[in-house]
Amino acid sequence: MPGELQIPQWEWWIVLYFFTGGIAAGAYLVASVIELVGEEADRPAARMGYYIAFAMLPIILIALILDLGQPLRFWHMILYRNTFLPWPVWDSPMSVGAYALLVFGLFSTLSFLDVLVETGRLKWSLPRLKYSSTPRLIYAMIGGLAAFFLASYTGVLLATTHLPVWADTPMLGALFLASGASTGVAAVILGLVATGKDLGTSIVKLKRLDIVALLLELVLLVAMLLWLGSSADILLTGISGILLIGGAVLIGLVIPLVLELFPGFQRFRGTTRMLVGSALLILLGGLILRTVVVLGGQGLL
Amino acid sequence: MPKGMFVDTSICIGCKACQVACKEWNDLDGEPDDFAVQPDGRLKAINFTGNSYDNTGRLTATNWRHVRFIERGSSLEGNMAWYMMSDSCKHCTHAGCLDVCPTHALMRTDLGNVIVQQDVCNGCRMCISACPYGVISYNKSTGRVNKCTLCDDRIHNGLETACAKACPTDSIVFGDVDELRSQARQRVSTLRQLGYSKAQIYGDDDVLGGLNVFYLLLDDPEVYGQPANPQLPQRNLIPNSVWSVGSAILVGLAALVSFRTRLNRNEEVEA
Repeated sequence: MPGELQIPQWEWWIVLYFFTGGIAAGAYLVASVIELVGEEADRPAARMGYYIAFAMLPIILIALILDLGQPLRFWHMILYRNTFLPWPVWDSPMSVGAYALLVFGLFSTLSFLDVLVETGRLKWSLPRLKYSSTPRLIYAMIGGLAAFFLASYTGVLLATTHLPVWADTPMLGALFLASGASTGVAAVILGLVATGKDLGTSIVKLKRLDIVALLLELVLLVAMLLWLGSSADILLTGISGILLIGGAVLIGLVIPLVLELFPGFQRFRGTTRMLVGSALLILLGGLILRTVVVLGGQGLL
Repeated sequence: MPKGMFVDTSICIGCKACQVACKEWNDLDGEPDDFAVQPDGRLKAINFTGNSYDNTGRLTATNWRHVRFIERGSSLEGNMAWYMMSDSCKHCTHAGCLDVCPTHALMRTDLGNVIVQQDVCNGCRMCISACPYGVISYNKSTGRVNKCTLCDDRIHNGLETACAKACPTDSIVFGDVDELRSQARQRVSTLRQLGYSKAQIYGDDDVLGGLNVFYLLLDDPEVYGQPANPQLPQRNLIPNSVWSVGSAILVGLAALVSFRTRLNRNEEVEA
């Protein structure tokens, strides 16, 4: 590290959180948009989005808690230890992010319970009364906004430091949001294929959204590296460089885009094998991107 | 009235009494990285930095004070200069660490010093790279962060800091920041009259709203390993947020266009 700066030593738990948090946010975003403006035919995709967002919550919580030096004090993020009252720090992305995660967790859980009622899996009387029809639109609205925040604040958090790679570009939050969207959509596609749902037009729409997210991610990543100039060297050399170019860019962005956009691959498009392959590449690319930015940015790769 | 320290590097002799006093008073362990366990279980010091008389290297969770040794020029050319600087937390008026701490573990006391409340800190490490000086350090054995407290217990009982007390040349002086600043200005003008043209105060109001622990340097701050123009980490919040919102709008629009029923009528017919 330049000068006398110290690194926070955020390692694999944080990589895991950034990755799963992005997936949760992206999947919930898709679900909430379908909820708010979509049609009945796409509801299986919306339900899958809610399932995935909810399934990520325990991983997110475990990763965040175990990363702490004092895991049992995780609640200090929300309640001030000396008064037991909430006390957000507006200048701190970690503090605001903790509250946003709380909101996201609450509403993605409500949406999940709502889906259980909708599909008849939840038989208890009280939730059946509470979790149906109109409230689910409210969950989608608030949860969707929290999801946008969740997908991007992790990048803003890294930027609120002095480490050159993180702090010398304004694009990290935007990049993480695009990556969260692309991996979230990929996870929804994978989930739909895995559960053997009738894919119909939902897949076409999901793929179209994923292409936009991937293109945005690619543009932002290239722009970020150009913006960083020589500060980007730490990301572009050694293992970081191999992972970033070979993994995040080639495997995670370029190959899925070529498969989707290049006419030569027309006849494979829409096949299960292609859908699964593409989604897996996108997810792998997203994981590698977080790994390179978090670990590589601290010089730990 | 904030309390602080004026560190006049021009009269520092590099004796490290301040480091020893800090370790003693604050009951700080040896730095684990500085020792290796030998096969017979005994510890062996391995902290040879190869950098002049510096055996500390940097500030850590157990080294809250670090005397830097900076060798300039060459004795062969007759322009050898040996600068020393006893470095520690600066207790900045605008403290980045304090601003980003999500648990309020970092707090400023009534005397202006910034401390880490050990019963509140949960080891999230957000503060570490928010400090432009690399002062705050993670303590793996306690799972919390540590740094100089300006001897919080001593100064709240009418005593001066341990390092200032131990300094044999009064290179480190503890007191009211305002008084110390005027003392420092006088000293700078004296040194300039003596021919030290680059003598300067580092940490006046121009640096992070003023450093409560500030320095008289004989050369530019970079020579002493200090950033000339340190910034608050929050400087990046707004630009990053604006870009994030832009990205969110694009993704949101793409999702709307993809799933909005009315926009998809034609697609459905095709399908």
